[in-house]
Amino acid sequence: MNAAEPLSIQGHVDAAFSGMRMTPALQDLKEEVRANLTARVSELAGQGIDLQSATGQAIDELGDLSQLIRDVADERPDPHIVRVRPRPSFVVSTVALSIVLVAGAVVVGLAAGRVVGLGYGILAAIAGGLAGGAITFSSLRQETTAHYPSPPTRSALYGLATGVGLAGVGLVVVAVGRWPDAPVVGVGAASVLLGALGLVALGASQTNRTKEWALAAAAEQRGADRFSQDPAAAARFGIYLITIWIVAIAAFLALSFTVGFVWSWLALVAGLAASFILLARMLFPPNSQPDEARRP
Amino acid sequence: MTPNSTTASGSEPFAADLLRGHTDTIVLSVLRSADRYGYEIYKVIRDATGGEYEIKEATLYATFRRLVKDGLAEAYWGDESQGGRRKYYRITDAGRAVFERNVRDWTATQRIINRVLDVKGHIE
Repeated sequence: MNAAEPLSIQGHVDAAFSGMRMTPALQDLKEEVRANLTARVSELAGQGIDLQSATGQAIDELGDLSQLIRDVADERPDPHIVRVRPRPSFVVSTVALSIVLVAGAVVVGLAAGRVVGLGYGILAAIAGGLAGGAITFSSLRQETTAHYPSPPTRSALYGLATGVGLAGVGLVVVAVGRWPDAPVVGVGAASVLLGALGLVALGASQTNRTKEWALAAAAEQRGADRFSQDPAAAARFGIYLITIWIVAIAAFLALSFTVGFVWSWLALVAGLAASFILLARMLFPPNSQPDEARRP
Repeated sequence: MTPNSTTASGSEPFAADLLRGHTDTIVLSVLRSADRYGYEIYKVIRDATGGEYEIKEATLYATFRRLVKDGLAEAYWGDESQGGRRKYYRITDAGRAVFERNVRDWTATQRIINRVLDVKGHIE
């Protein structure tokens, strides 16, 4: 119905915005003006007015944009953030899946403590893995205010790796509690490994999905955040964190077998506390000078 | 009793300035029932004034930006499959609150002005 319309509307809009350094906010405004002009022209054309007069009238009604354009161009690049709200269906399904995940973890724990049968534990581990994978998939598919959605295949692979890994963790916990359940431990450990390898591969090939404004904001704040300023510190933090958790999990397992579940969870609490202290010390160093000296 | 036009042209049967001062409230009012894109908002206002008053679209764009900046409305791009995407505006809860407050203020102000003008009218 408006086949030739872009020509002169586009021309007018281009002329109005010509000579301006196109910031994202200006680009946004330009696109908005163009869409509204198009809507007006198609309405007028629908009333039987010929295209040229319709375009002329629409442009006339638009009025003078120069002041507005100057205002937007002069605006501090206080980024023009279009807030993206989570879809209600996503929020509801994530909560529902989280309940499945938590319920699965509880049943896995009960099965490990021999309160319920091995079969239930295995089922719960698989259900929890499925729920965790589904949460991962749908979360990555969401566009957020700061991030673009991940492509479907990639999101599905992330979901798969997470799900397999989580189910594996569940199987290992179930089987370790009922030692010796060698086949289940074997399958579980293999799943954990597979999931971890999958996540490593995906993480290594991950490209940027952060929106421009968020990148700009991050670049502006670079002075405050130590980890983005000093990638070596971030890497060291990661290694320390893994060490803490390996020790915590080993202590948890050892205590579980010797002292029992009544006290073994304290190992995990200690690990968590140590992680937070480490984060606080490394992300906000008490004094940056001694830290420089500590570096080899 | 209607205040005379304060514009230089004086061609409109009402005070365009006065109306312009309430553009934000008018746009919020249009958004109360549904999310709309720029031209739709323009059209609703034009039709509601019986075509007597055509707010300039340039003014409206400035209003949209102000409303979004003040958190009274949110903007999002629609997902039209053809004919280019449109930028829609949605009123926020803050926007509804401000709208109601403005309406209350306007009603009270209008009552006072009417009363004052009526008194003058009686004296003359």
